Amino acid sequence: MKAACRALAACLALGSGTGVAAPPQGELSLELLGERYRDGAREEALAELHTWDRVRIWQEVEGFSASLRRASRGSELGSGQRREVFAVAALLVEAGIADARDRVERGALEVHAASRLVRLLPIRRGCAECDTFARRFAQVAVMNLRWWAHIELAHDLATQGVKDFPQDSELRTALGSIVELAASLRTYEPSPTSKSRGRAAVGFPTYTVESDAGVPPREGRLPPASLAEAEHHYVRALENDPENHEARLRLGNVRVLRDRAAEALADLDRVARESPLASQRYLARLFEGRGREQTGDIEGAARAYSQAVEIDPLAQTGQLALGRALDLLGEKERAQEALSRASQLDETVIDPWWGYRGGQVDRSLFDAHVRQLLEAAR
Amino acid sequence: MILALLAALAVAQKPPVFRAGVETVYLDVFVTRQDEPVLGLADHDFVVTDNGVAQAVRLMDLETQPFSAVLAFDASTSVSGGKLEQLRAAAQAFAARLGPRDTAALVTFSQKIKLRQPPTLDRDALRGALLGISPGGLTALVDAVFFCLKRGWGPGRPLIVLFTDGADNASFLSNEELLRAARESTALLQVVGSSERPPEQPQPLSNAAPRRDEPGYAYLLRRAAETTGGAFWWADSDALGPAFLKVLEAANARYLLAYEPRGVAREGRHRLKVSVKRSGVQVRARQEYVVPGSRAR
Repeated sequence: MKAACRALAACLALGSGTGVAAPPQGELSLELLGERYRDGAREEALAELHTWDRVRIWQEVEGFSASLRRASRGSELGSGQRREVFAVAALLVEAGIADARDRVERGALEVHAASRLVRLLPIRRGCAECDTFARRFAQVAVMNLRWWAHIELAHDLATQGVKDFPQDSELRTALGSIVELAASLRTYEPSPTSKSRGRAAVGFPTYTVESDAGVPPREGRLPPASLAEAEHHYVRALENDPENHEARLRLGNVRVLRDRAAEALADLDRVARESPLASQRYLARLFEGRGREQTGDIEGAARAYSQAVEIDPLAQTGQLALGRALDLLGEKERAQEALSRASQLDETVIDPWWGYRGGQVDRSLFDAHVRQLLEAAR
Repeated sequence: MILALLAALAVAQKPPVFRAGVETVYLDVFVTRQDEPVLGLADHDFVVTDNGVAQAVRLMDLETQPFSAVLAFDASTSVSGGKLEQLRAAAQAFAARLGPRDTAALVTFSQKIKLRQPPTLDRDALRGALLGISPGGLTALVDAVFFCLKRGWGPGRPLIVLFTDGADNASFLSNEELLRAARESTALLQVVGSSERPPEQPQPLSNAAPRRDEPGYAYLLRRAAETTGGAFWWADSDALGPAFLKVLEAANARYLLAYEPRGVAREGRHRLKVSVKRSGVQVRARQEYVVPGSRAR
């Protein structure tokens, strides 16, 4: 029966002028993979999807979308269709986040495709489970994309997420984080005769599939961003949830970057004392150190960096920053010890600073988000 | 060119300190005419001012001042395949031409800075460390250069040869913190930058305006290098070896001057000016150094 339905859908797809071909007879469809993913065969579904190329993924998503629109005949999706969307979108976004680490273009395509499906849902139109799913989807997608590689996509998703759910503190924090990343990219003083002025041009990769799949190429562009805008989002996030340690941490960092360290130190200290996540406590002390340097308190900076090192002795940045502060204080031997430690750490250890810089949240949060998304999909 | 202070200060890199009549400042000076080294100069051919005050300099024997060479290589994702093989070969050719008393160390950096080989006279150990490079990750270029400038590299005169093919996207330290480290360091920093279409070799910033086609990160590194008396060398990404050898040839053709500062305050920033009593030559030397005890920035 399902095979017959797929064959019929394939004929309709061809006739609808979408130019999208259906999968060959007998092969699994995206809809079926979504079902398996939702019903417990999560690993098998992900493994099967992993074998598809980008062209097929896009064609399947277009075909699935088209069939949903036809079946609903211009009305809202029915409950069965919504569950199908939940399942397929959850499958695609989990695969996309995992793929985004190694296969940048493919990962972005999967997340982008999933977001198109989610937009078919009646969000904020009386379907509570759609709202729950859309919110969880946005959190998973936005908070776990590699922003460095997918900043425009992440920005689009976060902006839509905040528009749909303005009281969601996590989404607001994520949007602020993307803006902060875009606004704080390292710039270089251009040489006085240089043609380029202002912010360094950093190319973000585009993702395309072969043209016959009909996917319009996306250009990587920096969205216009400012640290003031990032600060605004963090303040709003904290208004919605004063216990949002990520927002408070980032608010502190942004204020230091904006040369307002005196306003930042209390927030950073609070995160360092109260956050249950070691990565946040470490970063809070790191940023506090930078803030104290800004106020001229180098001893205080060295203390903060020492505390960062105590929290995470295997993270390189804390050791490097400590070495620098000790050097500034004239404590040359201790500075040399810290610098030596910085360069002899275990290569497999991830410094939380790199995740912050690359726009990623703590891994434990990703796992929690995926679990929540799966719950919302069932 | 290297500013080395108090040859007696060994293991850790010590800041320049002046005790009256005792401390010595060393300056590496490169003299070229149409990019070729000018040889045969004597100490009376040089004019050195320290914060505007003329100093009495003497020429040192290079044989008495071995290098502590530090090869610092970008090992981010973009440096892989053929480029990595080029880099390994260039490094081995470089090490083979070092003097018998010159040590060599290997540092790699992606987002992680790794000391793969501490300073050693053992060229086989260096070769082994080169083979262990496995590229991947982001680029903490500024943090890595800071580390190399500030870490002690043993009793030899630190010569840092840094290779990179792109901009920074992972460092914590700021550009200004890097430039400060360059002012305070006693190392000589030479940078080799790689590009598929490398711009012309730039003239020193003190002699000519920067070029319009110079990427921002290259301009930053060039400022750091020239502060220490070094230079930025562009290399074709298919031919890294010649650039590394040019760096070493330049280092071996340099003049090493020494003087005991007279008539200048000890602490703070010391702006240096080195010239040669010859027409038509270019002179490259460290531009300044900082004596701690001040927050000179």
